[in-house]
Amino acid sequence: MFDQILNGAIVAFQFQHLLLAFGGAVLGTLLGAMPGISATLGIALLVPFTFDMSSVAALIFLGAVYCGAIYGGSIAGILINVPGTPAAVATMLDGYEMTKQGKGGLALGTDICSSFVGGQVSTIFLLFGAPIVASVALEIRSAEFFWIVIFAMSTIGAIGAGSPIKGLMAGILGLVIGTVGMHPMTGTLRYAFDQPALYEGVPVIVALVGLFSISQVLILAEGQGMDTQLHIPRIGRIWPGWATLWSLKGCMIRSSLIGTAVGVVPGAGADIAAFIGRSEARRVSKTPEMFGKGAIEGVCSAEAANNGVVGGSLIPMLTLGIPGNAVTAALLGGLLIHGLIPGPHLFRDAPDVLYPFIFSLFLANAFFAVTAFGGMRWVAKVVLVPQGIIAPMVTALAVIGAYSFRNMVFDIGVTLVLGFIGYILRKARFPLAPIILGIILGPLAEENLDRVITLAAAHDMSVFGFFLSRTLTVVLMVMTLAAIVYSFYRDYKRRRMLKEAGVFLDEEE
Amino acid sequence: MTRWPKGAEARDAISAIVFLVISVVGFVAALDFPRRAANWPLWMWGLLGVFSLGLLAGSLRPRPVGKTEKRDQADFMRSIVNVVMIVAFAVSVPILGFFTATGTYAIVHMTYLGVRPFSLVLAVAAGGLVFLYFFFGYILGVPVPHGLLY
Repeated sequence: MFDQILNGAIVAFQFQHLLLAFGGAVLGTLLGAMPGISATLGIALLVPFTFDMSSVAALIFLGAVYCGAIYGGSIAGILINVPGTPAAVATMLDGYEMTKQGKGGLALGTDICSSFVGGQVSTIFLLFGAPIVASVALEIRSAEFFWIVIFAMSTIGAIGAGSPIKGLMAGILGLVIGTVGMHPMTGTLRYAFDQPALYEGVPVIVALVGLFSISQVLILAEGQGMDTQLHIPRIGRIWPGWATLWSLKGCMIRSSLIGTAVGVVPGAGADIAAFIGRSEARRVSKTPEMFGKGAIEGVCSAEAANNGVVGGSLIPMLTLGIPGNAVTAALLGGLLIHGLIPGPHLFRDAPDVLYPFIFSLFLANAFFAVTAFGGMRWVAKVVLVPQGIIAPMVTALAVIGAYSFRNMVFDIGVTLVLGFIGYILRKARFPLAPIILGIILGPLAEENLDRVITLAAAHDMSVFGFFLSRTLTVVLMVMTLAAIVYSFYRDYKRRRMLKEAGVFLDEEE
Repeated sequence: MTRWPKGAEARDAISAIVFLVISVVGFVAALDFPRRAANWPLWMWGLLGVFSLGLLAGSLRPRPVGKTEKRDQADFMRSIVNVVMIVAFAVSVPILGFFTATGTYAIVHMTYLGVRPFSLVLAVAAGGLVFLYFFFGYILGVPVPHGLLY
């Protein structure tokens, strides 16, 4: 393993890969800083740019975009009180307060350092943890794998913000879309509407671009196209100083670990990690009353946690093929295009791709930090790009991205249809991430269920009896049930609490 | 003044009914598949139907009326115009060619969204086209759709 890590480092340090990691980190930071462009959307739009690259180069580029975008999302939140990504909302609560107090530079500097530490800590866990998980996962059989997917889908649908029933419905909708095309065992065409382009199913990239890009364009186009009132306040000196950083060391490390752990859990993305990191920092703080009024620990904890998610979320994606959130689903789409099938065999079959990729994440974290410290004056200007300009540009990139995957005009149509469906679902408060995860995981679940059906028949058992005959499967079934029950209980408690506080459904949503 | 959606309950009820109808249609269509190919879709449509009923039941429970997202007719029309523009762009890509269609769409949509001055609109559209041509046409060599025009 150490030979592979060393080789990975050597490949990651090749000039062209350094350049790609730098370019990806800068591009990710700029995209993340634009209000309305999330890390998922950024990656979905940039995957087509990697079609011509080698798999190592493509992954290095997309991984760097991921790191940069998660960091970049906080810049707009701190400067103009508009979060660039959902994960930046927790940072904004104290970051913007600091800006109002004339301490915007300190907030931005703390934000950069915390993001850097969060990213590096989680990458260390990814580097050493993922191969261990992968080796254990090699022992997993179809019955267990089926229930791992079902467990992941139930947590992804239920854990996210908003109504658990809507999350689960969105996940099932994704699983249903995943059935489009030819059934792998019987060759039966399902829901293909006599369209040869659908015989192999709905391509993940096309679905991703449609659901996230076009729906976001329509959301952006609803608002004011150009806000001339927005301006960037004076931010002053960015470097927070060694003494400040040293005083925040505990907060940074604790939040980085929280972010990494949360990232591993399917369904819990960077936004949830940031809020958990922040509330934990508040709990242990000597001045909890300062949170929400410009506490530097508020910025530090939220940012270290949300960047900590990067490495953590890649562990289940690379080792089990299960993306825990929409961003890793987008990355998984990038992997599939380059012929890499994420799962337990990936570390065994493609270490020459994975280790350079993991190593490049260390570099990407360093690159966005250097870019931000060196060029904040210019990076900050990106937050003012009018939505009226962003929306048409995203549409153009989405259309060409969808087309270039298979050079088919039909895919542009699929992108638009899914985009409009995504827009309507967002308006009806349905989350989109479970849909894309369902599209990816659906065929995986069905394939394993088919194997179980064959095995059960061979053992003269019912499918349910076969599941019950395996301890790990029973544990996973109980965990799935517990996750669903817990999510409904949590939702019930939350609604009751909000009702008592006089906050009604649509206000808090 | 038209308000859409009228409230969280109405929105959830409409969503639930639409999902229920779709799940019934999908379920019935799956009955035509061979048994092995039908198993998974039948389960999924069935579950979707059950959850739709759950959402419908939840939406029928009386809830205190909160502040809802107010959308007047102008907002609704704005959304429709945005959708029409995107569809028109997509339809025109194979007819006019990607670059011509993109340039025209970008100028029209930016202007509609209120980007001013017009010189900025033109500059952004031109810059965007150069960027797309440079990356997709030149560096990546992606064969973009060509139509009547370039």
